[in-house]
Amino acid sequence: MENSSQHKPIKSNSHRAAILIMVLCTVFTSTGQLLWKTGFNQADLTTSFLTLINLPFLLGFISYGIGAILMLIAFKKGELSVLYPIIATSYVWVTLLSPWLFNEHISLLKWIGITIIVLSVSILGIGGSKKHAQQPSNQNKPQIPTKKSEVHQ
Amino acid sequence: MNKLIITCIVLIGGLLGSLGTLLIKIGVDKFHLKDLWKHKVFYIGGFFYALSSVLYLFALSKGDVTFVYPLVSTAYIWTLLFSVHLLGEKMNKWKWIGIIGIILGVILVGIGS
Repeated sequence: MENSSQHKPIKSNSHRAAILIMVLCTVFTSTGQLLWKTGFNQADLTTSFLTLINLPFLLGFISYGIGAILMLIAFKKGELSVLYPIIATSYVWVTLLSPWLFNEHISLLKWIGITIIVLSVSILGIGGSKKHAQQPSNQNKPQIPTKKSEVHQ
Repeated sequence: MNKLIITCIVLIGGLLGSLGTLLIKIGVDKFHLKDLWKHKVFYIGGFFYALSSVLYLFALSKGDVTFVYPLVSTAYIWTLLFSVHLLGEKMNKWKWIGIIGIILGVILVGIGS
């Protein structure tokens, strides 16, 4: 971390973009999880682990991979303390889709839970815009000063 | 399976998941995204993160969601501690409300399952 000494404040736009990208990331990771569950149900593990190699299970990896790339982009733009809890948005997608996909019932407590998660993620978005510029982050742009010194040479 | 063993598995999973994301965040801050694949920190972080997912899935297959989800929330607390103490991120009241709200929401989703 020796070259991360130059702290740049995270702008509120960048902060909000990071949150939106993180939410989009959870859409892909949730889709991945649901595909894995479908593939897992199709497989017969008592026969062989090889039965796990089926289309939904493999598509699950692709979806999860896209989600992982989006997570890296979000991490580049925002703070870990804000972005990590947003992974919980995946509970919202999985819960909302489970009656349709797995005939599971959404209980009242679950409705309250996912409503609180959605509200909390929104609060994190609003909160970020109120404290811009006060925030040191580890984002570093080491090229800028180097270029200047190169010009003088 | 014994509840104590499942609890330990989920708690270890939570710690590993938080450590994994911390390492990935350190890597992302330090290097360009397209160079990330060249650096060890990315693979170690990714491995921890993947291992935590495997531990969660294992715990979910053996234990009740009602019981496992609230324990998964410990990962948020670890991450909060790492972010503030190791990455120097600042907290404000909106972030506290948001993070505590998410933990509460996850616990309710677990209990309601």
